[in-house]
Amino acid sequence: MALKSFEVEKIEKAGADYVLDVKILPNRFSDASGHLGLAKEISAVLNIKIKEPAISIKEAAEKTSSRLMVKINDSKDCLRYSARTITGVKVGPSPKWLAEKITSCGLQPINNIVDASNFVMLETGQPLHCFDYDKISGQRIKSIIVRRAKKQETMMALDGKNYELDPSILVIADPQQPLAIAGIKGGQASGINDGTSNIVLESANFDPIIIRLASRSLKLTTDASTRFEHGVDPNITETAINRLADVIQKVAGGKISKGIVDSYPHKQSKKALGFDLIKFQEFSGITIPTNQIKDIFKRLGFTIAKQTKNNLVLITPTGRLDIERFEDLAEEILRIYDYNKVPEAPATGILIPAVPNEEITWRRQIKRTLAALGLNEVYNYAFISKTDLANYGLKWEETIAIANPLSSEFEFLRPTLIINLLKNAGSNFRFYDEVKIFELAKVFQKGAVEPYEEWRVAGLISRKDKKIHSFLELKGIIEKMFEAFGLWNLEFQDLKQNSWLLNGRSAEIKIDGESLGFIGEINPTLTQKYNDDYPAVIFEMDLAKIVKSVQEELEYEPLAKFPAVIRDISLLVSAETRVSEILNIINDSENKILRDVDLFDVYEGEKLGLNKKSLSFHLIFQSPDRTLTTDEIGKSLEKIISNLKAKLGAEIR
Amino acid sequence: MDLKEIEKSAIIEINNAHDIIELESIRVKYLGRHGDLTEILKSLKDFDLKERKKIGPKANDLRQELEKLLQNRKNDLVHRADFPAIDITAPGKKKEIGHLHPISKVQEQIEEIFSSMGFSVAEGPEIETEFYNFDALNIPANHPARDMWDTLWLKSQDSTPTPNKKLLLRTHTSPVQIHYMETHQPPIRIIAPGRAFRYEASDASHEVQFYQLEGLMVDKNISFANFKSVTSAFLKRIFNKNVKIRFRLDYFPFVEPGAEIAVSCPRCSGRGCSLCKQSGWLEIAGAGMVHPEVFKAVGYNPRDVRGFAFGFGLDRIAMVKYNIPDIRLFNSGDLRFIKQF
Repeated sequence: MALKSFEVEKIEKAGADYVLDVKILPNRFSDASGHLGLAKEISAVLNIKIKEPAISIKEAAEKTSSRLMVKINDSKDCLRYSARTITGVKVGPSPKWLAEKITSCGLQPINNIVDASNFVMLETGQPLHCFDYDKISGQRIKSIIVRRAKKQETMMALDGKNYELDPSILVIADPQQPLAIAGIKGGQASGINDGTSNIVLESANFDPIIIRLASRSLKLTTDASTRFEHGVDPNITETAINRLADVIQKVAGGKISKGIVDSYPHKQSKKALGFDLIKFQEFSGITIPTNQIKDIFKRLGFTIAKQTKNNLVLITPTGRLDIERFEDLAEEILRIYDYNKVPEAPATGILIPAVPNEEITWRRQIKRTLAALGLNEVYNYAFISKTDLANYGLKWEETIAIANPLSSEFEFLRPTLIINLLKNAGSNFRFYDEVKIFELAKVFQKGAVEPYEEWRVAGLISRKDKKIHSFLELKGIIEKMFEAFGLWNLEFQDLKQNSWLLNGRSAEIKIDGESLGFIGEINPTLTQKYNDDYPAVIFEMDLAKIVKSVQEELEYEPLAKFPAVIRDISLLVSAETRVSEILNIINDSENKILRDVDLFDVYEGEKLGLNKKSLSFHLIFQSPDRTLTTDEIGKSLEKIISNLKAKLGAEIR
Repeated sequence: MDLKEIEKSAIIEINNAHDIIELESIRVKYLGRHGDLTEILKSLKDFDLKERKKIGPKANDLRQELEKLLQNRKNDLVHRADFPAIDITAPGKKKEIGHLHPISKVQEQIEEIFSSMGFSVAEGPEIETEFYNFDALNIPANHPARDMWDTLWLKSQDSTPTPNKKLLLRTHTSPVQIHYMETHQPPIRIIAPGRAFRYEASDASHEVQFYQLEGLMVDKNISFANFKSVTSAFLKRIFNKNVKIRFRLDYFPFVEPGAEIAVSCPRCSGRGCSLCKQSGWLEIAGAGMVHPEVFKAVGYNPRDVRGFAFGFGLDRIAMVKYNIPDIRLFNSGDLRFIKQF
């Protein structure tokens, strides 16, 4: 059974009996949520006959219809309402067999009448309810009305709670007040207690959506409401009410009124469905003999109304509300035949080459490159807390909030990857002195009309040792990554007015004038809160912009034919002088034969005097069309040096 | 001494020589003018022809061998001064490289397997509308099947959201199927990896945020047998070719027939262990033949096309492959975890 219908959660001994705990699939509640339905299913799977319980009720002379009237206000809300009465019952504890059965199914025994209703519900799958006949208002013939609740109507339910009702909720009422919330819970006023002697049995069928919405709005889920939500076969109310009358008579005595008051205005007829045998062969990829197919349908309770060469006409068992079309029937055959017995067949058809997804390819490249450069990849939650928003000065009105967050930590969708990366650093310092990480994920922001999401890549380096500066290391990683993609023209410009980063230690990352993101050292107010006050350098870039800039293909440059000449110069300049200023002067001085300039040493020390630093560069001279002469290199170098002296007051060492 | 004795003792002495002076005295001892081997060579002329033919070549070979050994040893001793020995058993110096997240690794592997079977990679948004996440997948509003997905809803930006347009964090990667079919015509072979979210308290096997991979194949004549073939081929590649695969009935509103796919537990080979809760099987994927209502929702005529879809947890596969006990480790940012991969 576990393979062909439902998963068996467990089988365990309960008293003299066994409990089989089965996970009923949501589409099979209508036929298999009762013991009888499950037994039918098992009989079909194992191909054995089923023995249904015999119902034998002794009816009294008095007609049910002379004691009770049922009125359904809207037959869309209530498909069917069947009722009977029993007079002279003796309410008391259930006999041992009944109490045991109820307990083993996880319910609490209450009294013989309520237990009998639960027992028959578990057996048939039909939710049942009993009212105290004498507590229903009215004289000789009592009336039961199925109607929508009125605005602000309230009802005290059997669980002792007072429920506020509204017109979206269906109630069972007498002419004065609601007796029960239809399909969900009975009311206290009409409930069965030790003093009860005359009862009304209800076996009804309510609209699944009304019950679901009411159960939601009242926050009240019961065995009955769950069954109605999933749909119950309206044709079983009669069997169920007779079975209930039978059981009650056996455990509590009493006289059963004659006949059923049954309101069933639109009788659900049996569904006939065609089953195309050729189509099934194509659909399944297997040929199962028609006789075997017919046998499986019969075992499952289908009737074969008609058979032609390639077609069957089937009458669906009424409980199987899930069977609507060919595919449903195909599933019935395949599961009972056994999915595992269907042979595998490779798919044929036009061969279409897989189309590479450029975005994904680049994301993969970026991940691999960053890892190769020493950063470890982390995955973080997409969420941040209200405290995070406040700490980072983010506006909540620009941030997307979760309507039903799991906790305050998960209240907003993160608009940046930085926040969680810094948290990662903080938590890793328990075990490491150095944290180097990156993440590639989506961030979320409110847009003008709709929220938008975009891919970002962010990285972080943080160390316990405050003497080691990590900015240039992280900058180097970014530059190296772009070099790996063939881009050498990354620019770093001073970033002003970013409250997360230190002024003077942060930069905007640009390529061809377009901003990709930023890099910088995190403001100590944030590292104090998230990173035990250890300094941290971070970067964050927009992934789509990176991909756009790297997509231009690499182009081959002819190999140099003539040798390069390297000359080194060391400059003594004021400490504030920036490398970019020197590079600009050098490059402006010589634009023909100077191929490259590399900074290879920076020295600051007392020997140099206050506010001075020494910078040493390799100047690489090379021409694509000739070997350079010592003379022309000397002239060029002279020009460079004189410009550095004039514009920066540099001393050449 | 005879030749054998000379060979034996000379080799030992050469190998144990500590410096060049010692080595030279060893050379003199055996190959010098009055050396042991030289004496034997000198005395050859005194032997009769038969003896001479027997001993002569051997003695000459030995002389050559000893000369070669002496020279090699000399080279060793000369270079040792400039190139002192390195303790080659000491640990290698390692340049620190970073590690990729285990889910990235598994995802790459899976993408490559499917790519070799002709599947392209598709993606979709993580913020979805109710329509794409539910309605189009044959999970109508107010249907109990919706309870299968506990949903994280977004606070509305719009005060009166249109029905079906309510925003949520996608609860599965299945909406990508809808986006893709809306914009492409069959034949379709795609996989869609990505992050999904559930309103679910986390524990060792449940997470509010997890990673899925969805697959979809649509064409004119796709059969249940094709469905079994493709999914089995994949599972055998990602686990190993001997893994057993089991299909059983399951219910998902967007497929019919629906199936759950399990593999024999790779850790215990199906004998039963804590990973498979003694069952010998690990449930890996939910799958089935695409429901006609789904085709209708994307504007296909269900009479013209058939297909299958499957979905599984990337985290689940990573947990099984790498023996990871707790799903929460994936989102922990813990380097003790990441650095193992």
